[in-house]
Amino acid sequence: MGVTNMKNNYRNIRNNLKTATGTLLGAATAIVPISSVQAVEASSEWETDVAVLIYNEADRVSAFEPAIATKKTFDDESVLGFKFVFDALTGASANGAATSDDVQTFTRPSGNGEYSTAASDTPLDDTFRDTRVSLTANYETPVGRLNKMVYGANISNEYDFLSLGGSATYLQDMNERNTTLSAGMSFEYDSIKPVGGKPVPLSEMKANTETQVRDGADDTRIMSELLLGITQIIDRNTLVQFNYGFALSDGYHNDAYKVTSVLDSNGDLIAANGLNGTYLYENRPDSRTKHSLYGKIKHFLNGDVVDVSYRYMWDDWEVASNTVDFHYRKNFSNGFYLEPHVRYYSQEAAEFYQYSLTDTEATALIASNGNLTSDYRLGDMTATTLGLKLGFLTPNGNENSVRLEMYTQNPDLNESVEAVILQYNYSF
Amino acid sequence: MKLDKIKKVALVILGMSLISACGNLGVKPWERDVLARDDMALESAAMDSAFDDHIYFSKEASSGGKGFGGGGCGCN
Repeated sequence: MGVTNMKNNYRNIRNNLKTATGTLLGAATAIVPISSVQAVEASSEWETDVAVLIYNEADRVSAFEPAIATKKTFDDESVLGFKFVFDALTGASANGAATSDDVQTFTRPSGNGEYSTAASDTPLDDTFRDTRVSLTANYETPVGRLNKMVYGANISNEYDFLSLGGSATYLQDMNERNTTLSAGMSFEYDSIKPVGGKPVPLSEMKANTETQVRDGADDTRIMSELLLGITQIIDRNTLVQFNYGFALSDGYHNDAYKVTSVLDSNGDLIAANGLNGTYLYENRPDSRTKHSLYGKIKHFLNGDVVDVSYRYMWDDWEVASNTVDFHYRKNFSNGFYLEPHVRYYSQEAAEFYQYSLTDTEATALIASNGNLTSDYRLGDMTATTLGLKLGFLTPNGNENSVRLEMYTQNPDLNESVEAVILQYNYSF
Repeated sequence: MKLDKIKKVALVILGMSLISACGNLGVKPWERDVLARDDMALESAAMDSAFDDHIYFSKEASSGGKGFGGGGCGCN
């Protein structure tokens, strides 16, 4: 048997080992449950995926994001994986203030300098620039013949943010491995250090020539999450997955760079603090409880693959959202495929979202220390993604794919945001 | 509102119980040829999925559902 044949045979065995179990650790790990033919499996080479993503919003944020993920299966069926992501972000980001018939001037987050927005334009803070590095490690290990544990750890760092996390998930196969139950817990610790310090919530933005009183330099947030899941093989061509997720976060939830416009009864700017408008720094609650229900169906249809998923998410900020995701992978010969993708998302606003406030409303809100944000990401919104992916094999059998997607956000009261996503993947 | 949520949760629990109770669903070990295909794995495009999760987490008020994230970001 030639080396190539052995390699192909090994690959076939490896493919046969893959059953229906879901990926609980997100994309970093493909959980491969124990199969009835697992005894044949031997230690594998490192399998590596590299990818580059370019994300570009018209006139706003751009991101360049290379990533590498590698994993190895050992003789005892344990799998060790690592993933590294680098993320360079530049561009402008909506600061939350309302559009106006007049030119508006804002102080930069650092307190040094200012930027202006033309009449009728969406106020964008053009100082947005950051670099993120993220490292993830995963380890899965069999416990018995029908169950296993998966552990994950991650660290993510950027200029104003540090995140440390860990997770543990138990998976149990049953019904001749046609059903897999899973239960996982994760913890995350975030340290937030906004440029220029933490603004005092509900305080007014001041001109850079004046002193902005700050509420300290940094803060923290802790999040814990529970995820319960079931994966069921329905028939030879169909499998389904259901998850329930519960997440609790406690600590600093504000976006320190977001403000709300306070307008007079005519909807005009009110000059104050050396600026021609009045802007309050946002004040989100210091905790958030989220629930999610997620379902997915994969079906093999005449040689092609249909992948449909749905998520309903709700939280105690009264955000509620629906997400429908649809992929159709049309397989051709020699590993070539085309995969259209459609995603539709809709969300209801957080109860404390306001596009702007009148001065009377602002006075009452400040007096009661109420919650406030004008971040459009917490407002009513729909979003659509349309994409196409093309996959092919190199002459040596390695997988390549390119995808191009258009992502459009349509927030109520706010300007639409259009983004182009381009990604290249290579596996070896 | 609260009743709606309870109903939804009850429906899902019922659905999950039905599925786990249905021992006759599924296939025999020798019928797994199609399900063993790479493109039939539940997470058949892990890189795409991770990038998407990060994009949508950064741009929308929702996250999670299918797995644990890989360390959020300061953007939301």
